[in-house]
Amino acid sequence: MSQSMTRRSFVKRGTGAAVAAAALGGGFVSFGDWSTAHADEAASAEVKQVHSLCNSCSSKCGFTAHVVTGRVRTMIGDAEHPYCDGTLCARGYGYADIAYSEDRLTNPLKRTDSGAFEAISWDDAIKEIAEKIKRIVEDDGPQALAMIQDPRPSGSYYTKRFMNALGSANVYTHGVACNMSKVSGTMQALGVGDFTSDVANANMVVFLGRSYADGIRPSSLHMLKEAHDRGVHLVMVDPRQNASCLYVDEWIPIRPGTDLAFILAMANVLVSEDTYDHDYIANYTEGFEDWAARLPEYTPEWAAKITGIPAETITRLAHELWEAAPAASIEQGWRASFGCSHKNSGETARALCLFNTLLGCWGAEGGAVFYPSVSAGKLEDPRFAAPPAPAEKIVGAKEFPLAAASMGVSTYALQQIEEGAVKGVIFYQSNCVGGYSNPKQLDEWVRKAELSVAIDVQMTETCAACQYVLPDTSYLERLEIPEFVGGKVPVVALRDRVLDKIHPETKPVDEIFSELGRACGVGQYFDFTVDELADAQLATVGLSLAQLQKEGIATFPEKAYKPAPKTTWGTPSKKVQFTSEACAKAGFTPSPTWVEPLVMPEEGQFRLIGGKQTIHTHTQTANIASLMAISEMYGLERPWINADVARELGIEDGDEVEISSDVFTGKTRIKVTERIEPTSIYLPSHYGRMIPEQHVSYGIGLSQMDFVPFHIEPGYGGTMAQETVVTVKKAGE
Amino acid sequence: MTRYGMLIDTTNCIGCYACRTACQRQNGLDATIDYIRYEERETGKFPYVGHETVPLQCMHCEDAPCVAVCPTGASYIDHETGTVRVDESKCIGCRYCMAACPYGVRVHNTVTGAVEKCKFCAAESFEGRAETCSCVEACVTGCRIFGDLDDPDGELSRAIAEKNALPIAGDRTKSKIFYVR
Amino acid sequence: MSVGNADAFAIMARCFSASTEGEWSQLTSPATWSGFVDALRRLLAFGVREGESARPHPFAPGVSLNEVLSEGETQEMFLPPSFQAKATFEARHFIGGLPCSAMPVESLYSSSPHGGTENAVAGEASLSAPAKKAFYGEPCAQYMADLLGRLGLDMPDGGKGYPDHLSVELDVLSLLVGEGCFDEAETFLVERFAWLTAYRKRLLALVSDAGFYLALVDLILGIRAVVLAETD
Repeated sequence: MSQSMTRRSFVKRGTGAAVAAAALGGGFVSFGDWSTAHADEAASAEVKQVHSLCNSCSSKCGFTAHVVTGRVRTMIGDAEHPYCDGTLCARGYGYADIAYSEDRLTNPLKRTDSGAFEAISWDDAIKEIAEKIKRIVEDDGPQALAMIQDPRPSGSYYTKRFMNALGSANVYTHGVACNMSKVSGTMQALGVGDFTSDVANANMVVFLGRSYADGIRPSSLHMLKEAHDRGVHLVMVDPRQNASCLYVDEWIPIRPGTDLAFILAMANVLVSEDTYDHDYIANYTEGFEDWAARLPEYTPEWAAKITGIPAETITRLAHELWEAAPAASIEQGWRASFGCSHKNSGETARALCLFNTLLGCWGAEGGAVFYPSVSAGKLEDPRFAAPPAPAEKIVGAKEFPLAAASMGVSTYALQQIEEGAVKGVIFYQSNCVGGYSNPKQLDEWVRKAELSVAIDVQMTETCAACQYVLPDTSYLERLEIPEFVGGKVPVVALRDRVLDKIHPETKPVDEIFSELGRACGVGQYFDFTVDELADAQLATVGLSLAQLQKEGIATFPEKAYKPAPKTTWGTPSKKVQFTSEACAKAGFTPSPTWVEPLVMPEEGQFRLIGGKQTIHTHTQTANIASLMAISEMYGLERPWINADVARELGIEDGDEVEISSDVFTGKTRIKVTERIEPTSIYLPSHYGRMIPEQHVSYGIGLSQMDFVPFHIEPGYGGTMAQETVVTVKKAGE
Repeated sequence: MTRYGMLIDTTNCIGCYACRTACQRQNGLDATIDYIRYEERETGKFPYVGHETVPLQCMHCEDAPCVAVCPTGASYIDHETGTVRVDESKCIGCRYCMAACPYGVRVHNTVTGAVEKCKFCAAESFEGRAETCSCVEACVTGCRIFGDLDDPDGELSRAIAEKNALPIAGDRTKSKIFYVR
Repeated sequence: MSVGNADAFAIMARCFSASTEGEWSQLTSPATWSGFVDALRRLLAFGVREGESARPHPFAPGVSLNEVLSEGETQEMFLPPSFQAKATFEARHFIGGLPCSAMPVESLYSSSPHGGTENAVAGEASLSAPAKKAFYGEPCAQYMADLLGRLGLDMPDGGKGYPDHLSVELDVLSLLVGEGCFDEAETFLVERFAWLTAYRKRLLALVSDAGFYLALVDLILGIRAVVLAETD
């Protein structure tokens, strides 16, 4: 038989290298000899340094990777990155394992009639998906398509550009299951979604469920420690004694879902005693009288019954905050208590902003501040011109008018598959089905879509529900467009290619959407590479891609934060709005008043609450061996129950228990602890993965969202992650 | 003489496990090989509760029970650095050292058959690149100080004196990790 | 048609990697395939050496096809899968990330130097499924990448990620044998293909019929056993 044919297998001879038998013989080295030599060489091996951004949570901290023979040997947090401030967290070191994980998706997949996935070529995958997209756009219009993505620099850019090019406004983030209600409520009061408590310089800060030491952003943790060392009065209001409590002066356990009552009562204390910043209220706010007139019914005694916090504690904390003002604030929170948890979460965020307004703390040193950020300027090259803005608003905007349009109500979009208004859905790096709301319900809807596509690095509950699964590169293998990060000193940072592509048939997000764009007939919007785009964006701030690749981070010291009272706002009135027309239209009172949670635990019931642990980010890190090994060794997957309650139920630490809600029952070992208030069961949000493709995470612990029925917070669109009550009993009884 | 040692301030330890995963990453260890383990303690009654996390690793004892029981001399004290080391080529995997170690910080690797533990990687200059130990570098709240106990003016010696840091279980084994609790 | 030892390994490499329909029908034409099966018999009897290098085997009396293969597997070797059947098997199993994945990549089946602790029994984890914490790019992959470089060989872009893919290892073996580097070929065969014992268990666990691939794996292990016996 012909040599040429058999020799056309995987390997080929290097061009121009004549391989003679002698050379072959001399070039060969046994594995045994190689290993010995390799161990000696390892110490002196060439170390390649690459700056990049972590992907183990949304903070995307900057780090420098030391790469030796294609492996990440060392990771060092970048000192200049505003979120990492020189140190990474446990997740950062562990998550790098994802690149070489055996569970990586390696090829485009299509679900066959039998329900199993089979590899197909990229050409076929792109062609088939594009045909379905074009048909949906033609028959039902571009608004019948939805895109759900977890925003990362390139992902945000390319998914939006692709959808807008098709004429659709339906680009959603994971917001409904994260900080949607917090951001949206803050928007109503302040016209901006986020602020930062200047913890390190404060006299006093109250945290509502926010734990810098659990959902770690290293710089926030550094700030907390600095405040503690300086003697700042720090108060943690949380149903659970979280890890940050190491640094606070008092832990105030609160019944979950009642933070709004706590804030309203403290506001009532200040307003009724006439201790608030009259000047600020008079000059820079609107509608204060409306709120002042509604507050008197919210006495500390009233709130004590609802929150479980003694009335005198509520009064004392209000007094202390006022005495500490303006270097005092209630911290804004993120996901835990009112990011998306209850029927009153959006209104809680709004009330929180108004309470801080009473303190006159906006922009004050040690108060609540707004850090500057820089963004890329307009790109002159016509190739980068944005597609025309879609004619219609994002699906769900009408039904949830208070929901931040930048996030969108993704769960509502999926519900619209059932209604026939949405026909096709694409997920990018989003395990929506596994965690945004009730997984069973979301899975059912996604499976009913005419087109469903998931792009990810490994199988997830979302991938499993889709018709097509496209294999992404891991974060260590791709360059993304620059990420502009706000902070005391704003910066621009870069995710760069740390490793060569491991799986040849994986593609980064820019390539996938550029190819899909061309196949869908909107290729004119994708006539550039990600390198070209990154370079063009950086040029607008006087930098180049090559420069940022070399340095990793560039700072803008001339834009650094300077403390100054904040007096103009992005609201319709340009003032802090105690009353909101939009909230009134959406069925709330013009200024925030008490809103009952959807459900309240009765005798023998508990509210099931979630929350992060230091070593995991929701479901994303569960399949990382080095992180899950910690969970397994220390039993971190166990839900927490209050020790007195456990005793009454005859439950001991480590017992197997059965937890039941209206929609789900599951068994697990339990942790009995003094560190949780009696009406709550805390179930860490990372476990209960039921995807057998995930060798590490499969079947460990329970998933919070399995217990929660599908529902959406009125007006604001949050997933109401903690609106479920459960019963607990010892298994087998 | 150099006697390497460490201070761990548990009053600043949030129990985040970053020292463990950094140690594994920077020293190329498998997911289940833990040179650092943790003891956790809850005190008091709801709502007046205290919580403490104590990271434990090889204490590099001067009177090291693991060295005393080792039948092959695989466990030994390196006199230049004062650290306890394992010569894996001499280790027969009998695990006497694991039984003898009062701190339970030695790990048996079932693949290599050898027993491993914290090397004080900076002292061993692990793979020739460490300026300080990985756990020290990684600690988000700065709980750890590594240094030379024989340098009375060094940061470590001064911190031990200032914070009255003590060995975790008295001075029975003359351990070289000092705890602030 | 006569198929040499080097070509036999090259054909095996093709069995574990994607091919075009034309290539596959050419390889599996009755003449080529029967030559291939003959070569396998010869390899099992005499090891990888041929020509002047071939040596008598006083201590290894040679093994025949059906001593290594079950009856069913022997039949599989005489009737290779159609192009469609091969492509379907590859699309279902020679990909990563699925419950029925069986990527023929050594890293996923080799024990890493730090492979387990007290609780795990070495090697046992890979009985029914790939080991719980398997990774691509283990030292065997680094070795293979290094070796390809030393031998002046290139991976096509499509294969860069898996220098320790079974078909690459078989190709290198084929080249060593083809160039007459028999000592090196034997060392390589003994060192590099031991993982197929674990991989064989993975194939056995698949629901769909992996008989053809099992037969190939058993043959490689059989040839390896012959060489081991010779070199002992």
